[in-house]
Amino acid sequence: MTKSLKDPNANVMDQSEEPNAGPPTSDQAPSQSDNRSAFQFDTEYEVVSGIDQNIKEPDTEASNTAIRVLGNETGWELGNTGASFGTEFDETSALDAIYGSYPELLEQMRQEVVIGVDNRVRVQATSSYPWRAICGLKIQAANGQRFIGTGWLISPRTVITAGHCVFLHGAGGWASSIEVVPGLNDASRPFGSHVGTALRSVTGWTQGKKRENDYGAIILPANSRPGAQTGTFGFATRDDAFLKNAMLNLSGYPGDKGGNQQWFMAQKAKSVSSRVLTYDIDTAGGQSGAPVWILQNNQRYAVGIHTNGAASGNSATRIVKAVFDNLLAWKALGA
Amino acid sequence: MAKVSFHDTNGRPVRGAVVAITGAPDEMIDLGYVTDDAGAIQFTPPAEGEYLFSLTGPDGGSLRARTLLSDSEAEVTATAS
Repeated sequence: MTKSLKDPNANVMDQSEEPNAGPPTSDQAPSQSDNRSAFQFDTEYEVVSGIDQNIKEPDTEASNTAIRVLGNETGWELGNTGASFGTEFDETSALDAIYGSYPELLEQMRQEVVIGVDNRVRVQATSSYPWRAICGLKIQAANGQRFIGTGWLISPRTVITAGHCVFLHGAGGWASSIEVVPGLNDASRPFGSHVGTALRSVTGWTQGKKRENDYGAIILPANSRPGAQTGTFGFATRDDAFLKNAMLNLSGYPGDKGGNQQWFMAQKAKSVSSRVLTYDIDTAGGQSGAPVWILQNNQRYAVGIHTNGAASGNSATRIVKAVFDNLLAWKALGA
Repeated sequence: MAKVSFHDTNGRPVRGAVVAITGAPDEMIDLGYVTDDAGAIQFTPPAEGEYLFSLTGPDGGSLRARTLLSDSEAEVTATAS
């Protein structure tokens, strides 16, 4: 079961962020990373085997391409790779956000509450940002097994997801292929379907199977650029104090709903540790890889990658500096 | 790896269904599974105990199943209804 996740040594960390790129608009002025206080809590609910446990550098990148072609591969150089497009949504207050901007989700949430099974809300408007930047994943494992998961676009061709969606311990390792469907909504595929075979994770996951290193990426082929149409998520590190008070949003493709519908829920964190965010946001198998994001100053920043479910709390791999740096490098690969 | 084969109430394998593990005795990854031609999925159970499953067939129909797994290599058949 999930242990107490409070980490007294994790109170201070870098505040790095990479802005989201909302739907392309005529106003594409780059936005600068800011120096806001770590105690500024103005976030909002989004509306609507061979295991080595002693990996010395667990966030060292691993990729299926590297294994096939290059052998060992070291970490990536860093750099600011993107401009922001801004977003099309107005900022509203935290409590009013779900009521103001997406009333259709509120009505669905009421229906769900009446049912009393869980508090997830179905996202019907998956052609709208930010929902369209969230992708259903159809995973073909190396051993022939099939799985479903969730991913999210951070650049035209880069999809972030859980490490266990790209490298499946017990199912042959690197997936043989992953179909990425942005804004999947039952039979509707408003931004098409894109198959990725270039996969990224880190050695902490591929060799160490460490829960805190459970994150990865799919780099789509050069002719597949769905993120240029859908807009993308930003991502950021935030300190413990901030995250304990922030509204966390999570949306993905749960298998108990068939895996072809996007479902959303938002709530504050239950606990925050040095590498894991834990919450009572309802999830189910298939939502692995979903973004856990904050809506702050009208910008959407992922702060976690959903990975695990447990009765004591569902959880995400926290985006800390090492994770942020890898995401930034993978973003550049799919620019 | 444990193997769970899902059959319907007529004993036929439930093929091509999306499976979510909705109850487990311990924390699990939130991956969704798709049953193979024998109606089976394989996964690593984190602990002995009862597991609950939600199945959605290719036709959209929903089924539920439960089974006890006594060890991480267990092979069991569960009736989905």
